[in-house]
Amino acid sequence: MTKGKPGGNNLLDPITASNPVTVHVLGLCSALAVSISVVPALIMSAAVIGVLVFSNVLVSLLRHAMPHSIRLVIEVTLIATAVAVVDEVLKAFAPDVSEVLSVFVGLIITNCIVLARVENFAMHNGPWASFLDAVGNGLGYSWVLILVAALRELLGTGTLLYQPVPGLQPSSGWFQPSEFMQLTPSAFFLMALIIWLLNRVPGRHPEESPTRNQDDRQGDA
Amino acid sequence: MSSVKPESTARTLVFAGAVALGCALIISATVYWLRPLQVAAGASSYMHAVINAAALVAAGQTLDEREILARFQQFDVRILDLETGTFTREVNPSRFDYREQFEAGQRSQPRFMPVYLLRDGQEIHCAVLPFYAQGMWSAIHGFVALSEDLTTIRGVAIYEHGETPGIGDRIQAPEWLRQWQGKRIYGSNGEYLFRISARPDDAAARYTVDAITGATVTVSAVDQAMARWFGDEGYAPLLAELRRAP
Repeated sequence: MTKGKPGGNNLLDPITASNPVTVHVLGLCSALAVSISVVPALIMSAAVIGVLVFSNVLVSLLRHAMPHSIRLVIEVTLIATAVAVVDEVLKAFAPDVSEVLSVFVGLIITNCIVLARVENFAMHNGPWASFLDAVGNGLGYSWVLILVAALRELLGTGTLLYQPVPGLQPSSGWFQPSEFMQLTPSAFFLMALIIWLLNRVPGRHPEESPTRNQDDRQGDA
Repeated sequence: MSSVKPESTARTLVFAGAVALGCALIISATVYWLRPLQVAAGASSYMHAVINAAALVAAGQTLDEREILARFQQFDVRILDLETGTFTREVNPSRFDYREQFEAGQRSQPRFMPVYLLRDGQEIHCAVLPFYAQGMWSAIHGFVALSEDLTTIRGVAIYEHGETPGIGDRIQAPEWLRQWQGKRIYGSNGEYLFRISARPDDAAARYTVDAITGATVTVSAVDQAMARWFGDEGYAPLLAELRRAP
């Protein structure tokens, strides 16, 4: 289990050294599906951060009162509530994006990052540390997602945030958007490249790092 | 947890009940406060789909709420009584949502459908007709817009569906919907010839839209729905009548 550390580490660690996507390889399912362009990726990031903060803080507040035997049920109920609220908010304020994200907002419930943080962190730490941890892990998920989405949108359609990028249009004569980048498997390759590049950074290799605890490394749904 | 307290069943049940109640309250309150906004967004996307089907929006152009409403108001809205095949004044078109008929338990055979007409003086130069299909997972709702001959497809829009992301939801892709444009629904004697087919057929090319690989169930649902809606049980009698006397 992860014990809360004072101050910024709870926030910064999950963005880099113990990033949920690149180090723990969690939450890939949605990261592959909604990374086709930047706008849905941004909204999805905000949704995941919202769900993480809501469930981490609430579980942390309830952790002493929570009967141990039903704690997973309670955790999933709280996560599902957060997801339902986020889904309704998106349908009201961003109906177009909500349509693009379709089932993947609902599937945040099964995103292992959320349950992993709630079960491994919020159950053992105070609300403030849990809040920082939630924001940190949310941002750690977000930057990978947005980076993959930006690459896929640039190479797949020659646009960024739906705006044509000068010089990356078929009319420029040298660039042909790659349809492959618009298909889901391309996200696998990009993600693998990012993880490989990060693992090349000295001291960042998860298997060699003695400080990392193996407890919160789990398979993805 | 370091210290596992002795937990009585009663306490566990009370805790679970309290959390369930709290969560239910949070969700209910959210839905209650956001419902008006969602209804407005739904109405706006409905009108946008009618405008899109009629090809009143240039590619890549985005409209704000007011522009959508202004364009939608150019349409002459009529209510078709499918039992008689003629327009009726029994139903007030401004407050009519044909989907409410399903909620009232008439899922298979609705009686009234709205028809959106663009007129040039007396002449109809575009008719937008709603259709729905029972797809793989969901009801698919969309519009087909016909040109002034009331036979050639001017445009299509799908505005509501819950088909598989990445597979069935490609029925909403502009690239696929674009190939409907210019296809004909009826032959020269008014017989229904339109098809969505995986087999290219040069002889029937002007009546045939290419199917979507991997989305067989969704696409054949749309194909069958088109046959039903534009057949004798659906819009065919009305369209024949309008061709004679607009």
